[in-house]
Parts: sequence; C-alpha cells; structure tokens
Amino acid sequence: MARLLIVEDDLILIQMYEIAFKHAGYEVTTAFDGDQGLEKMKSFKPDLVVLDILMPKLSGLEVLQKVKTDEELKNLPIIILTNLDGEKNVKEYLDQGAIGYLIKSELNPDELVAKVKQLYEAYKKQ
Amino acid sequence: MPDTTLEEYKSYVKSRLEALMPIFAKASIGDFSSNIEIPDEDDEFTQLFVGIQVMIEIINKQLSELTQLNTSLEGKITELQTLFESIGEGIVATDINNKIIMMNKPAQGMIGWSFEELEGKNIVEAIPMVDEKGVAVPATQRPSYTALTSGKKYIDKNHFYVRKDKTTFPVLKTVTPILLHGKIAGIMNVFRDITQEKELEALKDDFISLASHELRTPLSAIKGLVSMVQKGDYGPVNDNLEKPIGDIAFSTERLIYLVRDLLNVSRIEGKRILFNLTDVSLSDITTKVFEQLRPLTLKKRIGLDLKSESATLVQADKDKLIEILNNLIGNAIKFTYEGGITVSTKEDGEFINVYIEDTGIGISPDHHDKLFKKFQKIHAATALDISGSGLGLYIVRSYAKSMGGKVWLERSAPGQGTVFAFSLPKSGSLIAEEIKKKHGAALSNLRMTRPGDKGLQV
Repeated sequence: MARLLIVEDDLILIQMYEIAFKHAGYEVTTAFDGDQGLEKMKSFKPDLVVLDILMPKLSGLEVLQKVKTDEELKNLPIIILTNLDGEKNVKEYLDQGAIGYLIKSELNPDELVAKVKQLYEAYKKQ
Repeated sequence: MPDTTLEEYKSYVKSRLEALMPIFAKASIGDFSSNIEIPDEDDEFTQLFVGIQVMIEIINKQLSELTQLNTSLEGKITELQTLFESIGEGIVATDINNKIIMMNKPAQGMIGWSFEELEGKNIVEAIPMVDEKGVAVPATQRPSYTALTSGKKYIDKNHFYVRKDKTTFPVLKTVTPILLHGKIAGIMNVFRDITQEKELEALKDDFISLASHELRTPLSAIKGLVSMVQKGDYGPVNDNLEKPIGDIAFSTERLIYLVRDLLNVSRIEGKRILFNLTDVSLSDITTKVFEQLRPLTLKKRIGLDLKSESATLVQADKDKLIEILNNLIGNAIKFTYEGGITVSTKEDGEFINVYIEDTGIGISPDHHDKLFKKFQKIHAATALDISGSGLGLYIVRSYAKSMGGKVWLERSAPGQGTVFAFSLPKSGSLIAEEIKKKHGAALSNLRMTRPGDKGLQV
C-alpha cells in the first residue's frame, strides 16, 4: 500500500487523519510544520503528500514551491488539504503543481480517504 | 420787476443761482449735508430752492438707510462666510463652466491647494481624480461634469482625489447642481476624506474572513471525529448514544454551513468574489443539482421535475449557478410536504428565466419584501433545515446580480405554494458580453488592490 505523509499543524486533525488513512491501509507518517514536512519527504520517501496551507514556519505554498524546484522531490504528488476555499487559491495551487485541492470542513475522513485515493489513481495513470 | 432790462435780469438770475453752486459742488462728491438758505424775498426762484432742499433731505434719508442696510448685509455675509468655513466637509463651488468660484478651508486643507491658487480654474483640471489603480478619471466621467450636464445630484465614493503633493485619498463626494431661477448656475461639490472608513471596512472583512477560517479548523475536527465514532472507528457505539451523536453531527453541519455563508457574505461585501463566466447548459446543471437533492425528495415522497425548453445555454459561473439552484430548490424541498417541485425555463429577450415552483406551505404577503435581506428567517428551523443561516437568499440575489441577472419571488401565498424565479443572460447576448467585460476589469482590480496577499485569498 502507498506511503503517505500528512503535513498539518493541528494536533487533533492530524491524529484523526492518521487513523482514517491507516484504517484504509496506508502507511502513514506525519509532520507538524513545513520544515519538518520537507525533511520527512526526504527521509520517509512517501509516494504521496497531503499538505495543509496555513502552518507555522513554512506555509503550504512555500513548501510546494520548494518541492517543485527540488530535483529529488519535484515529481512527488502533492494534494492540498485546507480550509481556505477562495477560488483564486485553488487555481494558484493547481498552477504550482498540486494534483488536488480539498476542503477540510467539506469532507468526512472516509470521504477524504476516497478523494485522495481517486486523485492518486488519476495521477498514476498519467 | 417790470422796469429792469434784460441784462439786469440775466445778472439777477446768475446771482441767485450762484448761491446753489457750493451745494451742487458738494453733491457731485456725494456730500448732501449742506442745507440751502431759502431767501426771504418771494420770487420765481423760491419754489426751485424749496424743491432742491426737499430733494437733498430725501437723498440724505435714503443714504442713511442704505448705509444701515449695507452694514447689516456685511454682517450677514460675514456670518455666512463663517458658517461656510466652519462646515467640517470640504466644499468647492463652481460656475456654469466648472470654474472654481469658492472653496472653504477644510477643502483647502484636504487638497493642499489654497483658494487663491485655484480660483477661476476648471475643477476637473485643478483637482485631479483617479481610480483605485491610479488611472485618471476622464473629464467626461467626473461627477462634477455629469452633474452639470444632466442637472442631477451624484454621490460617488469609488474614487480618489489627488493632493497638491501628488498623494491621494479616498473621497466621498456629493455633487449637486446649483439652481438659480430654475437654471443650472454651477455645481456644489461637498466631499470628505474616507480613509478611515475604508480601513475599518477592510478590517471588518478581514476579521470575518479570518474568524471564519479559524472556526473551520475545530469544526472540521468535530465533524470528522463524530463521523468516525458513528462508523465505529473507535469501537462499538451504544444504541442509546446514537441519537445524541447524530444530533452533534447535524449541529456541526449547520455550523459549518453558517460559517460558509458568513464567509460568502463577507466576500460579497468586500467585493472579493471572482466570477469565472463560461457558457453553461442550464438543464445539465439542474440535472446535476437534482442528483444531489434527490435523496431528500425521496425521503419526503415528493416529486422533483425539470421542464426545460431546448435552448438553455446561459453565461454563468458554474459553481455560483449550482449554489443558486441548490439554495432555491433546497428551500422548496424544505417547505414542501406533499406534491413536489418543478423547475422550468423560459426565454425572455436576452435572458433565460428559471422558475422553481413548489406545492409547499407558501409565504405570507407580509414577508415578501423581506425575503432577500440579510438574516431573514421566515419559518422556524426544521429538522431538515441545515443551512438556515438566513443568508441564503441574500447570497443568491447578489450572485444572480453579479452575473447580470436577477432573482425574484414570482408568486406565493399561504397554502398555495411558492414560485421563485431567477434570470441569467443568454450565451452570446449583448448583456452577456457586457457583464463579461465588467468582470474582466474587476478581476484586475482585485489583483491590484490586494498586493500584500501571499496566496491568502479570503
């Protein structure tokens, strides 16, 4: 099963998502801010990253930009998971290379797992 | 004097008239103070002397009245001038050619030019006006120009005045034609610096946006965790806990909707909402919305049908259109207990009208004009009333309006069902093109006015 990194600064949310993805069979690791997220991308070598936007240290956008300019990481699929739902944001992140943009408050964890799976499958087919 | 010669008579007349000369000399320099001595002897000149004396006295009386009037007029003018200068708003009066004829101290203070520097100059050139992007407003679009040509009053708060030192400030301006005997004699420009109001407005918008986003994080956690508990992810749930946990889930969902609506209203009012206008098929979108809402109508055993004419391509933002339909059809379902909901479309000139007809409980006429206002709830919340924020129709109306259409209550009465309707411009119509152009401009405005945004578009 796929290896997943969740980058999210809210402790309760991250635990919740971790359980949901583990139940679905993912091998999961977590990071609490952008810096740690980038580190774990290199050490854990995930197949897929779920990334929050508003975080301390590096924001989701900065992480995404660093990933896309890093030779080792640039092909790593990244899905944005946030509560910022402005349309300009969605477009900006997709333009920067994220493969999906999901809104936390609109999805239950099982729905989130299904969406992430769907996006990842579509990405692999490309 | 029968025996006098002509020569003697001439010299007699001359001598009598000479007595008047000093009087006339004084009168010629405005001095009417000397009196005429009326001679004792009574002859042809006596009448003349008396006449002139009476005239002098009348002139003297009128002069003193005029002096008094003048003094009181001067007092009035000083009074008016003091009032004019004491008005807290900037005032610039112009004549029929838009040349500046008067300007009070507050106006001079705000603009940085003195009245002496601008007197007689055309206001349009003397006090430049720019838009949010710093682009000069063309002379023919200046409020003072349009008021002069149309004779109507204008209120404008979307522009900036440029000061003498080239800095700008946002201005609220009321421009009123000055009418003299029914004809336009000039323009009265009354204005005020609204920097603070603008800042407060932005602060309010930012606060609501930020609060809404912050609220969403714990709400997402509650929603997610409750759904996992319900699913048994944390072990079996006792039967007696199912109801309260279900109620928590439902209440959380309501809160999420409320926060979303508040955020949308804040975006609408802060003009920070983007419309991605494309040609969309009304019947396709309606069918899609039907699919989402079908479970609700099946549960209530009521109908949900679409009667659509063939040509239903409209210009709209797909997501906003879905929200409008969701809201209006959702409302219809909420308040219908038997019968059903029918959605139909009709061409109406450059527009397509969409009618949402239900056989529900109807709305009493007292409430008709309140429907589209903020925070209006006509019916008490029901068990199905997830999105009962009282903001739905307000949002719907503003979305429809922004896309060039409108929304209205076609008819409704208690017990006789309700028909709501909205219109959108047909694809390719003149109005559709116009609206598209307008949104193109608004989009670049939005980017210009919020340069500090680091991807945080709220």
